[in-house]
Amino acid sequence: MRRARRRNNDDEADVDMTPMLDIVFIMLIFFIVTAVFLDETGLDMTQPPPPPEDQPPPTNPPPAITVYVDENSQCSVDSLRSTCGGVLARIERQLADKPGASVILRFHPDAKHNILVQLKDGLDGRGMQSKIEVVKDTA
Amino acid sequence: MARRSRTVLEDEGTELNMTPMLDVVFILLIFFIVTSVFVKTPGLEPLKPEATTDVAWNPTILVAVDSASNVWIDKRPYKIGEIRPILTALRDETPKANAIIQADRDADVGTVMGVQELFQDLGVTTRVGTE
Repeated sequence: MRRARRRNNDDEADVDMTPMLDIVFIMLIFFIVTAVFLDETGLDMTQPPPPPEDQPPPTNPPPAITVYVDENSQCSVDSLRSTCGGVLARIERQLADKPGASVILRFHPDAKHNILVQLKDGLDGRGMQSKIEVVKDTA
Repeated sequence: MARRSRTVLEDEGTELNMTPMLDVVFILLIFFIVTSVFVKTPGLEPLKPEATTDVAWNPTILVAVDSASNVWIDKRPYKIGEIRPILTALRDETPKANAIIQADRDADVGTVMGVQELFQDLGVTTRVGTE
């Protein structure tokens, strides 16, 4: 009989974990359900801010190769029609004529995003600097 | 007396030991708390352009542009002219935010670069999402 009473005392001294367990399980389920695992890759297409107005433009601007993509996603390099896949090869040929030239990618706002990414990616892969401009009219 | 003590012993033997499961549950809980990012997903997964020079990017603001050049933020479509206050609010929620623009291959360049320009105005580092 005395032993039975001691057992009762032991049980009372044990902390009842059940409510805490319930809360922990609810939290666990909440965090599992709301977990979002992001696996994103991206290209840096941000442009440097335009130079301040009061600064005069450089008198001897370096030669530039201009790629224009119109609203129908037709590509041209220095006003010469080209297939969009052939733009990079054409730029490389032009670079032989104009060493150190910078590349300007000029896009009509309605051109397809895919072409911009392809050209930018190709130029980045060849280590060429390029500038992206979005303009309405043919330059 | 003898019978009593035997039943008590049997009771103890059938009681499950919860401690190892509790340890696992706690570790899981801590893992999910630590890895949880509360991002507002755009609500659609556009077919992004493929690129070879892209790098991994951990954004906290996600914006999607679909092929009809609607801008999707937090599962709602907007036009490019409407999103400035929304982006400002998102930026103020997480001041050190990074953003990604997930644009469809057929989206307009004007829309994508317009959204990027807005982000740059707001001082948010932005990348354009690729596959």
